[in-house]
Amino acid sequence: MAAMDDWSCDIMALYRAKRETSKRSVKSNYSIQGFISSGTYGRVYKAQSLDEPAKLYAIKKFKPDKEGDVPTYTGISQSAIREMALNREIDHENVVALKEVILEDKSIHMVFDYAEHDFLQLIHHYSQTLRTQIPTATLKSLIYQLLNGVLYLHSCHILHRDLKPANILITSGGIVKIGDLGLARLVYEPLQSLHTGDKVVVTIWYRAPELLMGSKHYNKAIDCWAVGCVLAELASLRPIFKGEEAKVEGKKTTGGLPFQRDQVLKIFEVLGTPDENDWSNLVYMSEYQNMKRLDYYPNRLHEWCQTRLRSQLAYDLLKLLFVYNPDKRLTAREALHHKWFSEDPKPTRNAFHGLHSQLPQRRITQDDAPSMIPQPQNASHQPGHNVIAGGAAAQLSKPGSSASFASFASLSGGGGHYAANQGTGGHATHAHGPVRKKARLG
Amino acid sequence: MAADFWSSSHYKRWMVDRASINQARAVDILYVDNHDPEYFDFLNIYFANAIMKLGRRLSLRQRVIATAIIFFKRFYLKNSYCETDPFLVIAACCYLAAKAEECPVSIKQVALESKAHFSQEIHNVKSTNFDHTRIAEMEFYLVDDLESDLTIYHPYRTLTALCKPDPSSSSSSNTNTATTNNTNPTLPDTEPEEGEAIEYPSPSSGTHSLNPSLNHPIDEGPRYWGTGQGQLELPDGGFQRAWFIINDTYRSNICLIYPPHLIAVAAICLTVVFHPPSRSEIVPHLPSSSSTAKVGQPPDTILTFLASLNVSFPLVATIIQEIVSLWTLWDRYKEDATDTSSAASSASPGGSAGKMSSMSPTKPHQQQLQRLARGSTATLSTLSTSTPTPTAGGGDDPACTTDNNDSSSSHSPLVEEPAILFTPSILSNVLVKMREGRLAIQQATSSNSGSSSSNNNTDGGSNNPGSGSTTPGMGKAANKMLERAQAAG
Repeated sequence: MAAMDDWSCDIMALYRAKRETSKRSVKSNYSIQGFISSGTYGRVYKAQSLDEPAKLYAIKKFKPDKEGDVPTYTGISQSAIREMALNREIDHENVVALKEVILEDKSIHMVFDYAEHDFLQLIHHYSQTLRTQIPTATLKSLIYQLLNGVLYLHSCHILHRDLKPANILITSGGIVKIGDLGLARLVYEPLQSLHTGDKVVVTIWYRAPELLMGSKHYNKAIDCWAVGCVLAELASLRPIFKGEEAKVEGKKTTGGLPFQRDQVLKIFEVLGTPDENDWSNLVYMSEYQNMKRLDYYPNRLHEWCQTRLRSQLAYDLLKLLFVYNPDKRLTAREALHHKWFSEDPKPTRNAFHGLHSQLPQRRITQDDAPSMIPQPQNASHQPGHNVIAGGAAAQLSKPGSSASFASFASLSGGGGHYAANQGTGGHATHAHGPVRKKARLG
Repeated sequence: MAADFWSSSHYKRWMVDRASINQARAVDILYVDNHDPEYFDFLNIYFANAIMKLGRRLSLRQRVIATAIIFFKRFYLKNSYCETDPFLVIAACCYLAAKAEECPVSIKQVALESKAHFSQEIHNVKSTNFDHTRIAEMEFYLVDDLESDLTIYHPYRTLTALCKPDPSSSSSSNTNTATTNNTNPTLPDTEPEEGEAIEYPSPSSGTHSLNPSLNHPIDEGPRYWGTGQGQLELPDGGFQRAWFIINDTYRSNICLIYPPHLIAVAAICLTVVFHPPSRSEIVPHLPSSSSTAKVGQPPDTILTFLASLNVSFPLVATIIQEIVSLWTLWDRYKEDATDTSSAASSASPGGSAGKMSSMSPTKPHQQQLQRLARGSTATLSTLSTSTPTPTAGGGDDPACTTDNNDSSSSHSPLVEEPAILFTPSILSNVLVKMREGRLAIQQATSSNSGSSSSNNNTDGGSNNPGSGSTTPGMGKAANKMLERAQAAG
């Protein structure tokens, strides 16, 4: 059979050679300007188109798998497959656009339109540098566009499943772009339940109560909950439900997942203990008994909003996004029609319209890993002293991975950076580590 | 499943015409006997069967298998059989499709099952090394050639949107979800896929998946075409019959050329004609022996329903004709008796249930096919006359409305039974010969000039009967064809 093996290899060699001649490479099309962020999936770079130098891109390079030190093919990850497959089907102003995918050097490179800012960076800018609230007009425009993007995804039968400030980008022109579909899924006639594929979805602070209660079934409402959390965070400049994630014993998650007691408590402290009459499925959920052991809390959302959201209508919208029963929670479409958006100030297409100061640019650095950057470059790209570099980021051992750069990076490991930077107070590191844990098949 | 089919990558980038498909085989045809394109029709059946069987070994659902077949076909729009290893491509397609459809299987399992399956005598694939790193490498190239377009629309979706699953088997699936603790009671824990159980009766799927589920309204997607409302209730077994007919279409290029919803409508029409219980419901209303186009009495519900769909019935008629052609062709293809795969226990051409059980596989077959084809055409002409769509005008003779291209290049369906029977071993020998021929040329050219592999002048001069169809860089040519096809709409 040796001869036959040769023959088979020859065929592959022939095929490889043919591919080499026709392939499109990253370097011949883009100049890499710097490193933006990293995560367990790989690294993100800022790049400039060689054809149209005015065009900027974020190239997400998935790490090649390695056997020893040699990069090898082990199969493309489920999350990369998702992100490619979904991005190729969608097209909306409020969703980050995938320009192309380049497969090169055993790695996948996804080329996205570049966005200068993100919600997390904005929040930090206001909480650390400006030390004021985000103006209502800006906040409203951002949420409106966010909802618009979520509505589009939902109408495409896509659940994002990881909405959080770091994943919501903003262009320098003030257009919101939802990013990172690495955890997103089509829910149209799934062959397997959503639960089967990914045991845990959504970064814990933004995770909807039905997920926390162990429901095996969930729907678009989980994204709407996350939008509520983001709205609250923009208003108060810190996460509204900042729970501590309970860790799984050991490495495998086969033995069931722990009850996220602290996260549930954080929600109850503001929204009160859920009423079984409003949410009849609650009693069937696997964490129901655990929940029953918690103290009773009254709903204090109105009080919470008093100092943070100046509008009664804004409170009303938040209240509806925070309805416990997912079937009664406001949908993205309903939310867009909420009266708050027709109250002055009205949302603007450029969310930054009317702002006096500009947000700092996204910082890029030199890569500290085997790099795509051709030659040493100085990373002093930002005007003045970046707010991100102060305060929270100082606690980090790796400044390169600081908060504002988590946006492209939060695919699977970014949560850690995010948590550290979110912690402007004493809890800086409590959620460090796997803020998001995902157990995937295959 | 983006917003709808019309904005999908499937529609925008991957609807191809027959000329592009022929063009994609331009290198391969140099290396088959007599440069006979018919080999490729049989290879289509052979490869589709191989993917289905490997898919079953991996416990993949029918929709995943269908996706794998589409991946395979799209890959070979840009590549040649003789310059690649189709069995490795099959393994990569199954692996990738499972991920794309969100029910992944491990690559080691794919490697293991591929090895086990293709080492069977009928395939005689001894040369392919199904090492998992090779499958992963192939997957990489595959994704590249698929241009990362991994979302596929299948006719099954339209079928389930248009037709209620068989009433006899729908009862128990509802109870599944009623008892589960879920926040969203409409989302069942597992969704048995309609009609797929009979495609491969296996003990594990059992009664559960025999019951087509009524539960897929988590997201009742919009009907992305047409005006039809409501659902058609086919008589007993009709839904599954239509399902099987759709399965059959993956053995041809129908699934590359026509939009999936039209394939589904064609399958429903064929079901109405072929399936005795369904047929009996419409027979009184059929223009008997095409004497009258208008029916005196009001048309029955099935016909009314079909007529209400805002689709091009001439196109549907063309698809029907192509399905019938496929069946005729398929009669000349036999999987060897030595196939020990348990999955193929029901009928020898694995999974050809639609074909095998809808008609008797005996001699009168040909006439029956002809008669039924005529019958379906007649049915359609009734539909056409009662449909307000402007496209429905020339429904009487679908052949006239067919693309010239289509009818001329496709094999004539109703010729006499030919002598040659095609089997997997014959076809895998054909493949071996093709590859050896190609490699020999390759070695000759590389030793002569050491130039790149795209230099085909030598073999073009000696072998090519079509004179000048050999072009360097077939992949690019196929790409251009695709672009042209898109531009043409």
